[in-house]
Amino acid sequence: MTTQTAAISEMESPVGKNGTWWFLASEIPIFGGLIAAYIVMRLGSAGWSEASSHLNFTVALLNTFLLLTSSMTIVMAHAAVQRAALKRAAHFLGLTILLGLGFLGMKAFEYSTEIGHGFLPSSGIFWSFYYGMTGLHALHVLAGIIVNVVLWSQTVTGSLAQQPHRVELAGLYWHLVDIIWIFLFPLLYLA
Amino acid sequence: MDSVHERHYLIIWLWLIALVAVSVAAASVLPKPHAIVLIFSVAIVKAFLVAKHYMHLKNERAIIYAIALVPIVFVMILFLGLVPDFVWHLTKK
Amino acid sequence: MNQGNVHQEFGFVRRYIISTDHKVIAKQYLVLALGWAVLGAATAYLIRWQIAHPDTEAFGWGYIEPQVYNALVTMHGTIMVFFVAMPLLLSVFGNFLIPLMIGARDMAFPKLNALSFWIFFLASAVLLASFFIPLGPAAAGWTGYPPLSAKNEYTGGGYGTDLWLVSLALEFASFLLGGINFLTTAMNLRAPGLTWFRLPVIVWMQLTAAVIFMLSVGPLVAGAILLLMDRNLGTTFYLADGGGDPLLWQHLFWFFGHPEVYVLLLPGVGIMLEVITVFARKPVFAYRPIIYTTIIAGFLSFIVWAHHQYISGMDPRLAMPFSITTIIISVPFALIIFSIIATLWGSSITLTSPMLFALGTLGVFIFGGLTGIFNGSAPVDIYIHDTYFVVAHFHYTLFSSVFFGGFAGIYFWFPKMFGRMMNETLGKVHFWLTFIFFNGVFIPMHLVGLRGMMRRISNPMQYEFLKAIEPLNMFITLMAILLILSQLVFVVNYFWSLLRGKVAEDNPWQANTLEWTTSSPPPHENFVTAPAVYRWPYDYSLPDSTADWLPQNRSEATAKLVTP
Repeated sequence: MTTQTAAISEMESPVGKNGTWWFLASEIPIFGGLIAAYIVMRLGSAGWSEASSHLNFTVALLNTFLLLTSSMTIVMAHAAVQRAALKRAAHFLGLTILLGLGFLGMKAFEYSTEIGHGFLPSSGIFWSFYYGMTGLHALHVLAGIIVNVVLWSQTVTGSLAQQPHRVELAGLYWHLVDIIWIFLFPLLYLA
Repeated sequence: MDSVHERHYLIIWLWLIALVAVSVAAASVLPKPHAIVLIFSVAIVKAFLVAKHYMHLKNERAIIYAIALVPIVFVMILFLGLVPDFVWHLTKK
Repeated sequence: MNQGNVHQEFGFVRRYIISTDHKVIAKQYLVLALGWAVLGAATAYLIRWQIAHPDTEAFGWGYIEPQVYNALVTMHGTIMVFFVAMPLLLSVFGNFLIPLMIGARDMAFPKLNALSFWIFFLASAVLLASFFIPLGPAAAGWTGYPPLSAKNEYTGGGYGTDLWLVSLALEFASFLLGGINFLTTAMNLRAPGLTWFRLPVIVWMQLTAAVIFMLSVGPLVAGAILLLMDRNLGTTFYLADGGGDPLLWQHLFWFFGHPEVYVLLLPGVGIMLEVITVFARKPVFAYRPIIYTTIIAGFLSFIVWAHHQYISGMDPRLAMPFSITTIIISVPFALIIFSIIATLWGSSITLTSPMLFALGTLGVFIFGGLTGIFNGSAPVDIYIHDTYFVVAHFHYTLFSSVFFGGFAGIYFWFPKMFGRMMNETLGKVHFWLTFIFFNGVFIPMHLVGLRGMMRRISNPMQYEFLKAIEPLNMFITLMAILLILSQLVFVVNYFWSLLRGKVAEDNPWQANTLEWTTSSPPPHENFVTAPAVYRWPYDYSLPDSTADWLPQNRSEATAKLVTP
């Protein structure tokens, strides 16, 4: 990356952080649009609670716990990187990855059970939204895991030292994915 | 110095877990409308905690706040625009 | 990081195909956008042929079936908006100009920039492929309303609509990444002394357009996913018999669609202002108010969307609030237009070809903006919605920014991009032919629309009440063919100038912005020495100075010594 020439740029937030926040800003209306559509359609018609009662609440609760904890572990990794404790950072990144994989595994288990019971996206509008929203979210979790794996391997080999701020940036994305789940969980499973 | 940060992150994590427990309890104990209000208020608080403490929003410049907040405002506007047609659909059905 | 010598050793592929240099990437977008423009013009020709001579064989093509006609109108809109206007106005000018105008070496994320282009290239390939599959490309209008777009049996198409959706999704991803790049670059890489309010207006316009795009496209991405699910997974988000609602798509689409038109307009306004200040030798009038009102208009653009849906069956109580917001949004744009007129007032105008196109942008946009007020008011719109009056309106507003503005920009920055001057005479001929034939096409179109001719039908002559306007339609088609043929003047000029144009100096227009302080074309790292900025870009004809113009990098001390 080119070195900054300007005094101006030193007064702003670093380049990577600004770029990441703009990226998050563009993701918010994607899920926001889906969630807004879900809420209004649900408020406008009946019968969705019956459908949502077939969801596996326990698994979703476990998933919530996994994702919240992974948010904690990734920010711990960031704290470790900040004091150049790369081994500790690698451990926390590894934990984050495992928790993310656990989330996806649970989600896959949920989907297979539901499909096994005959609940497909075409089974009704609640199910359409359920699969659409959680599916898109799961794809974002997967993308985050891939990024985290890349960073973890850089931490292990030591090459992360050249761009340590990337753990924070990956963390910002991961927290957004967590925040989206914070809303999806009650919307789909508790309401 | 950083063990202070780490302890802080752990404390926030405990709060988040506690809030999940509150939501779950509310869902089974409270009547439906009250539960919904509580659960979504809790969700907003949880999101706020993650944003403020894990995403370090409290340490960032005002522009970052704006970048994070403005999209949410626009999503609210979209939601408001959808309500007449999909919630109050008095002209159809 | 000194990369000068390293880059000399890159081969052709690394320098021109997989380049991370923002200037090369801008040219890649230019080539692709102009290529798509040819295809877009071809669709326009066939559409106009069918309307003027229904159910005859179009010259050079043959008979146009109704289903093919539907695909043509769909592709015309899709191509022009997403594959010509967006890349030309945002990617070409934004990519080329932003780093140069802020005194930076390149974008903040050069590799991401290259990735953005190649994703756009992939989107183009997907859309182009859809022309060749059995049952053809998407045919549900560029707005893709369900149930027409949700069920193949209604359009007679196959998976063309799915390819259309995938192509758009890729295109949105490309522009989202591009927007992130533009904004971060402008925030972080400005030269010393280049405060926000010393930026050229076009940079502000590009940044505002980027923000508007990034915050409005999300719901449409969501909506497109839902449509793909309806088409392929048996869901019924948009299908009433399954508990869904076609109106949901309309809201999600237009929540993006309306801000999108301002995304397309703002860069054109920016180009207009840059060109006009240079060839009027006068500072931009009301610089800060223009910037503030642009941002306000950007915000307002998010609360007018349902004016596209007055007769859709949506809750009629929404008509009044959206009419009000739509009328309100004309105020900031009026302020901007009046400021441009005030900039011209009492100035010393030179009518070069970029200036002619910039003035054309202004005139054509004013006309289009005025008919917008008709459309925005619900009672009037009930009569003119889905008629050719709307088509005339949006061609005035869009053509002004995309083509008049785009050509103004190309003629103005061609020397900087390619190191050669375009031919001035051919440029003027191109302008006058385009201006005359454009108005020849679209002024009568208002009349045709008011007479009741509806959009998107392949044979208007099947209706008794439209038979009387057949001569008008034939006239419009003749004008359209002449308009398209006139563009050959530009094509000839463009290629001839690339090969044989007069070699351009650093600053042939004697303009103040930073891109003119370096060579034409600039070296790979843009500036031999990183510039510093001492003033805003519009010090032209200063009353207390003998200098006619003062570049941004001219300090006070040297300004007094040297008179350019």
